[in-house]
Amino acid sequence: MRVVIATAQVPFIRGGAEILAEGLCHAIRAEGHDAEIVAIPFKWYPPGRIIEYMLACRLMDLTESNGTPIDRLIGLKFPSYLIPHPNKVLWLVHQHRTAYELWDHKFGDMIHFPNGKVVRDAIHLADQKHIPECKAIYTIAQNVSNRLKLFCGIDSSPLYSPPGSAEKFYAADYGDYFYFPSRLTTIKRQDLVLQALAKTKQPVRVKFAGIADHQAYVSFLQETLKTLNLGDRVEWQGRVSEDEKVRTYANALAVVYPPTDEDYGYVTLEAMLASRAVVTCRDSGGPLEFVVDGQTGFVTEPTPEGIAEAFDRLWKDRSLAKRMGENGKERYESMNIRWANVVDRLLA
Amino acid sequence: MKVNWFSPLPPARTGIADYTALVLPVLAKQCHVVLWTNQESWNIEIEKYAEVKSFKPERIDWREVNRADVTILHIGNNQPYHGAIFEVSRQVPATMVLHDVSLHIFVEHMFRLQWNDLDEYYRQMYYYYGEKGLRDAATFTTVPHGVDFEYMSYQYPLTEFVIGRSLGTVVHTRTAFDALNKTGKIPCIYAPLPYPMMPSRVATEDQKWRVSSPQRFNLILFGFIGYNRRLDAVLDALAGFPERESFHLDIVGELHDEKAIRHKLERLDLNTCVSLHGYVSEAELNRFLSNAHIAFNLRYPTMGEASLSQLQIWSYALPSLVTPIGWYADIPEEIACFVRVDHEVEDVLHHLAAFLKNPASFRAMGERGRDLLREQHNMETYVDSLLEFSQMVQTDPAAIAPPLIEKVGKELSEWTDARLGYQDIRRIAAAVKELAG
Repeated sequence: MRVVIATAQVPFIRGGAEILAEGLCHAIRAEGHDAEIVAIPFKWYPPGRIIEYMLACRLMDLTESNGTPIDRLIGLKFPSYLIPHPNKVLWLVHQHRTAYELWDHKFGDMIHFPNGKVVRDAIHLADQKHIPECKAIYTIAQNVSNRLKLFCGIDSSPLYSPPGSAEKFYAADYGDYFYFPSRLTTIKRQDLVLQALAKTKQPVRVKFAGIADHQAYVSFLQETLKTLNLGDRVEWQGRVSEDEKVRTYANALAVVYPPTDEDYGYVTLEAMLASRAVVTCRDSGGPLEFVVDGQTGFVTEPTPEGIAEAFDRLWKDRSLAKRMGENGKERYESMNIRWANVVDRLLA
Repeated sequence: MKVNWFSPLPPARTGIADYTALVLPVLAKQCHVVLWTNQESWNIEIEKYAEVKSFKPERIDWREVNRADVTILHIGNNQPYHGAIFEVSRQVPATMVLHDVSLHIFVEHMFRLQWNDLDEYYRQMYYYYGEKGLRDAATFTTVPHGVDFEYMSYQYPLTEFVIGRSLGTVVHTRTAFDALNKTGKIPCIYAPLPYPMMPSRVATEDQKWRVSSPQRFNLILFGFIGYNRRLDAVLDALAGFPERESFHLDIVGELHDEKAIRHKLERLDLNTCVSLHGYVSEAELNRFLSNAHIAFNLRYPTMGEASLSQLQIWSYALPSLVTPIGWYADIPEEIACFVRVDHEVEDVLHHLAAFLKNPASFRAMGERGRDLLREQHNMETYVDSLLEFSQMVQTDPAAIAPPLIEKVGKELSEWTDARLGYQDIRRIAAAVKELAG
């Protein structure tokens, strides 16, 4: 089977969605099919641009390539899943979130433009009209399915995928830091973790890894760090290799991952694979599908105090951190999260 | 429902501010209203019905604007009051309520005074009206007494330019509706200008007709009284009326040229039967209207707009003398006395004589006016239509189409020519249409 994985790519930005597309491509090839990622460049501002990208997608022909039919198109991200194809299957990473749950939210941008509402409504209409064109509708997480149902009234099934290099994760000693590997961006809330550190009673330390979407957020984090006088309790690793990431997970005391309404969140799964407890928040979305509060980590209020309390408990009680981490690993294994399952469903 | 309402607010001396004050209590019963203004101050009274937010066109909180379900913008010819609102209209797709049919003066003022860009005014005149429009625009702006504003307003209303970016237009006159609807470019509805019924006014009128029937009858002319209100003709008629002592004319409101009017009263020896009151409070105006038997509401020229003061006259069941042009031309003959533009004195004399002969028939005419007001200018019906229409046009997915078509058309035209096949163009057009619902 010749399969195109259609996604949208913001040039120079790399995150979970890109890893997911690559993982899927690799997994389909591993099953003996031809697969290729077709990434549509995407820019979402000013909002009028979005409509142009949507139109571009609707005008694209991916039914064949070089005279040979493309048997299946798997759509991942808005607006790439609008590309027409007679055998299209959706595996939705997310819709254009600022047109939906982030519309009137502190992370919303579209609402600040005079034509924002018109563009939002067009996105809603296009999704309602073109998503049902798909032969099957899957999402990467229950959280994404819930949103699709809530906003568009469309039913779908979540299809969990393992993180990249899942087989490499291992558990070593429980060290003296929490780990937070992620893009540095407001929606991941690294700033909330810094605020939490300032509230802990224990000398808790956090290692951050990842690069920034915008330099402004880095400056803000540095300023916050200085203001809170956190000094050597924070380490910035920046961009890290896969091996270094796996090693840092393996030696962490636990993992902290408190994004705002995350779609899925590989960090949670990576932590579970490394037998690490996860501290997350009630409004973090995807991680809540995996973290069992008090069993495999803590689900706290999205406040510095809430996270600080979880930090202190794990810091003081290392055996609790260990026990929760091991529970997480067991839970991961019980969920049968494998690429082969994903490929079977998407190519069925 | 939450509604953004961009309009001049009281105490701004414009009928549109008065209109907003009248509509607001009924509107507020149906929805949460946010009044947007660039005025420094407003009557605190309106805050009983709505939230008031300040804006400047170059700095507006779009997040707040986008939180509302619909946005309604009010446009009239007065550039100081509507210039900022028009700037908003060029950015946000909304419903536009036109309070004037011809907007030439507004547009010319926008280009000349607000944007300092007469060249663009000429370009627009050429775009909409060709060579002649361009020539007349140049004469209008550069040759003193070359062409007057009435001619420009009538020949070149520029309404299409003003409504160009709106999603829908609401007009208050049948004529305006016919003109705009003919173009078919933007959805349009005709909603007769509304006025609230005030039952308390009825008792006063009954008493008035009983008490004063054997005495003098009160005439009234009110509002901002400029040249177009034809006061000169009214005074000439009154001076030439043999039984003028049977009437007393109250002139209530600011006069464009008070000195000239006082001089005329002196010259015509009308001081005993005419009083000038100047600008008065609303309560005082109500008292004058309550005591009046006939109202003068002559207009020439008129921009064709619906008259709030005429509705106010009818709310007092007052018989009135009007000029049968523009909006007034559609008033049924049994509801107002017509005064022809070229026979003003003659017609006023005729109607005054008829009144003295049979005051009861005039009283009945005033009551028919009030019936018309109740039936056709109902406030609740108006607000329902306005909200329903605004919701319809502002949720229409076709709103995204115009900028997209413009962009696609421009791009294609830059690197294609007529040889591009019909089918190819059709495919692109179909994709645009699909996105626009």
